[in-house]
Amino acid sequence: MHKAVIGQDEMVFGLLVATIARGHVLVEGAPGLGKTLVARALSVVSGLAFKRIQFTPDLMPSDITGSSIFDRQSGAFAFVPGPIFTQLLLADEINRAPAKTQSALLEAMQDRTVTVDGNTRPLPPVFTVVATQNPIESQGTYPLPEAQLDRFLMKLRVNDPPPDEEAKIVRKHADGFDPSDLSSLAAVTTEADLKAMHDLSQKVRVDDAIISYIVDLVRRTRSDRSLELGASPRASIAMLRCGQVIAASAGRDFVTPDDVKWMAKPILRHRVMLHPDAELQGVTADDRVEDILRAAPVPRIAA
Amino acid sequence: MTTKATSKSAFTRALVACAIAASCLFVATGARAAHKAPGTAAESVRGAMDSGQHAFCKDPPKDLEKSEAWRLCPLAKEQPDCAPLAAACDHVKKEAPSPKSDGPKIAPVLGQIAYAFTIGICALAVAMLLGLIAIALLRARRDRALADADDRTDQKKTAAAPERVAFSITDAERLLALASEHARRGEIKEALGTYLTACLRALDQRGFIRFARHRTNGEYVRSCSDGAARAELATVVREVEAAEFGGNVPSQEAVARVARSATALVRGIALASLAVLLVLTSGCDGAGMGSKKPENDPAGMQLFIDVARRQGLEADYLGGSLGALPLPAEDDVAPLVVVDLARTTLDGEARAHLDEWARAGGVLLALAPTKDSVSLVHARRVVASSREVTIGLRDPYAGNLLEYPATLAQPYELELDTADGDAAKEKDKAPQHAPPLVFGTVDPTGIFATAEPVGAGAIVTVASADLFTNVGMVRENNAEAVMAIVENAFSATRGGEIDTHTYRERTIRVARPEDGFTHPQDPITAMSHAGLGLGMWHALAAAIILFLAAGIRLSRPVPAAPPARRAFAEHVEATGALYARARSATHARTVFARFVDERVRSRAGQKGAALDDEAVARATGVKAETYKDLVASDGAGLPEASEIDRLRKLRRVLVAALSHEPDTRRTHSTSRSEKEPS
Repeated sequence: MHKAVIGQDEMVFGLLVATIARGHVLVEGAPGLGKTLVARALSVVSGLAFKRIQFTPDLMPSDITGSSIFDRQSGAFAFVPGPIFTQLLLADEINRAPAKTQSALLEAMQDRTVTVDGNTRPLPPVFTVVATQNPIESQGTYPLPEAQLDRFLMKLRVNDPPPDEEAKIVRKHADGFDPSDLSSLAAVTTEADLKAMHDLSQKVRVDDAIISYIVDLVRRTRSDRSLELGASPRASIAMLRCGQVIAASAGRDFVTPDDVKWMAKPILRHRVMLHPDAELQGVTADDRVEDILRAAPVPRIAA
Repeated sequence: MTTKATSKSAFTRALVACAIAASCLFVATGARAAHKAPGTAAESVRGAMDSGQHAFCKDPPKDLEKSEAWRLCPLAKEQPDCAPLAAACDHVKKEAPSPKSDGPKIAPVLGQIAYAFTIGICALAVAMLLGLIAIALLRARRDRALADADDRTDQKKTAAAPERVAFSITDAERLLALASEHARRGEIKEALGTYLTACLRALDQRGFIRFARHRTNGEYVRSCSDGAARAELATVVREVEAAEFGGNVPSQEAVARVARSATALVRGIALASLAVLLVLTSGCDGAGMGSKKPENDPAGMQLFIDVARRQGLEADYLGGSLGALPLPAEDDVAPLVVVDLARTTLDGEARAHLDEWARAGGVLLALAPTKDSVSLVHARRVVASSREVTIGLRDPYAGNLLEYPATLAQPYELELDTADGDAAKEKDKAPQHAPPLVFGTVDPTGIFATAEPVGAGAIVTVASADLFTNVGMVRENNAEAVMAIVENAFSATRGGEIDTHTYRERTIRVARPEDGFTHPQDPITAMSHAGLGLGMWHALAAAIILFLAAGIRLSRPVPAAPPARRAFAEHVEATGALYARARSATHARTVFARFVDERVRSRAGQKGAALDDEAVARATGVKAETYKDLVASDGAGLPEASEIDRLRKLRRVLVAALSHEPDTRRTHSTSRSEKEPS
């Protein structure tokens, strides 16, 4: 992927973890930081079918899920599948569409099925939504509802590249790199590989102490005074799954607290809601999650 | 036979007498040979220089102090054997600052800045300490609150592991021992965990990582700033986590591996620290210190000590603070203390003690004093025109005055007063002593050295220390002059007469530059000596105030005592009186009676139901008829004056009902009876 993407290691790693864990990713960052390029490059190298939906204020749910259209020849309604029927879906600028349209993804993200006209249609086993959004402060955006946010495995933040990386990006473009042409990339995995990796990660051992640590972290988000809404048990499961994938990627057959803590911030930051007072004081969700991570003791062998 | 025996005995006696006489003569000769006349000092200097111990001429220190070089270089250049020192002098002299530089003017300003800086550092340290205390208290409160919350919500099962004993031990060596003990008992997991904790503690103490409860092992490995230690720590972490979270049963080999790594990590760091310490120490005591050996220091006084020894005196360095010199008793003979005041700065305590010591019988030989160095020295600043001085010494046997010429490095800048003024007053205070002596002279007008009796002792002042330095002693004739000064000093308390008995017993002690400071007895005195006394008290006061402020802020809120309230019955009574004044006494009685009835029913467990006679009697202690009469709402026909009396009776009934235990037995039976049908 680094043939096309320079830097942004955290985002690339998060996307890979989420793909193997069969989770969905929300990527937030200012325009022009390579969010879409990373998603496209991921689809190429992972060998997954890729489709992109550009969310706009007038986008309708049926534009995503598909709809039944009357076929004059057969005299019956025929279902025309929407772009959601793919393996890697890029929901670009998801917060530019109203909540009604955003909610069209709920069933697909949770149950991996799509119900249209009373008929439920399954999605492929490997189905990952990579949604990008601009910061909420931008004009003309609709914040995602909590139920929708909770369905994203993690929320990755894309920051401005450091000067040296930015210089490399410019040099790459000066040397003729075309972001729309990713033919230089080749698929290194297949759907079957991804499925095998997923199955392998699920066999990674999770000690009771790790589960206690995960639950402790998540429960601390609920008792934190600065947070109006804490993380749900879905967050605990997400931390578990990510921990397993990270452990497997490190060649271990067991999860350590480090694996859990590694992705705790991307997993928790969009699942907690700040109290208005804390928000007024300039506290961010990342700050609170960081504080919670600092307060929670890491499990160790009792001696 | 008898005659032969008698003659033999007489011969033996004569032999013994001769032996005794010879031994006495030998002892007497030895005693006379114990000290030599000043005129033999040149021979002693040659002997000392030939011994090869004094290398200040041939191997001068590289960091020759500039002021010393500036002063002593003329003498060095006149010595044929001191070419290396002369060369060093030439090198240093180019950079030598003028002695009248601006240094002393800047010094007070720098001192003020340093003082303010030190106060700031102290305040910062106190603030940090208080901050740490406050953070610790806050954390303790938060942890307690979380623990309470966990208890309330049954989170205990999912809470993090409890605090371990090993985790709270900070000594890595002790942790290693504890881990070995675990391993010996077969508690493999505990042993591994303790080995890991030992590694972390050792690295934390070394500053490679920062130990905290929330950090994961991976974070420790990644944040370890020492490459070798990081690799070792990664090995330990891998083994420990495999056992802890991987469910693997660790083998004895794995434990041994971890033990080896942990031991290497802990003790390797300790050895590295020791090595660094040794390097630093040797750096402090290496070439730099070697070059400052007294034998190699041109301005040192080691040669003077050696020559004095060779002259039959007992001479050595003082080996302690001048402020701690023991005061001589009345019959004691105190040593002659030689202090080069140009190099030895006296603090106030040492200065005062020296004065007291001299009054008590000590003899102080003060070289190159300044106006403020010793209060009993009287001097004024002049600049002599010549380097040549002459020391006078009265021959104790012949009575004539012997003269010892000497050559200084520089014309001396201090002319000494004879004690005509203040010293005369001192003399009046101690009239039993001889008048001040003047034994050092210089042409045309100045006085180079004086001896002044003070109390039972004396202060001998020499305007310049050049003669006593190693370079100064080498110069021809100087050693004789120096020894003449010493002999004058020994006789200073006796009006110039030399007492050979006292002379034999007296010793010489030479003060080092660091001996001018009085060692503090405790840290507070040390702070005071450092000029931080006021700042220390300020910091202490600020610490107490801040600590109290933080303590008040962090202390648990004490629940305020509830405001004093009148008993409800009293309140009702007062209200009844109000109603009476308002001619509404009947209404008041009715309301209070209703209230009392409700409470009695509630107490009797028959709320909403009719009270039977037994319950009334049990709850109120009055008969049922009386109770019904009291709580009857119809109060018509009663005289108005009885309303208050009726209220008081109701109050008594209420008090009796409230003090009576509620009839729980009846309530429970009622509950059972209610449940039974279902």
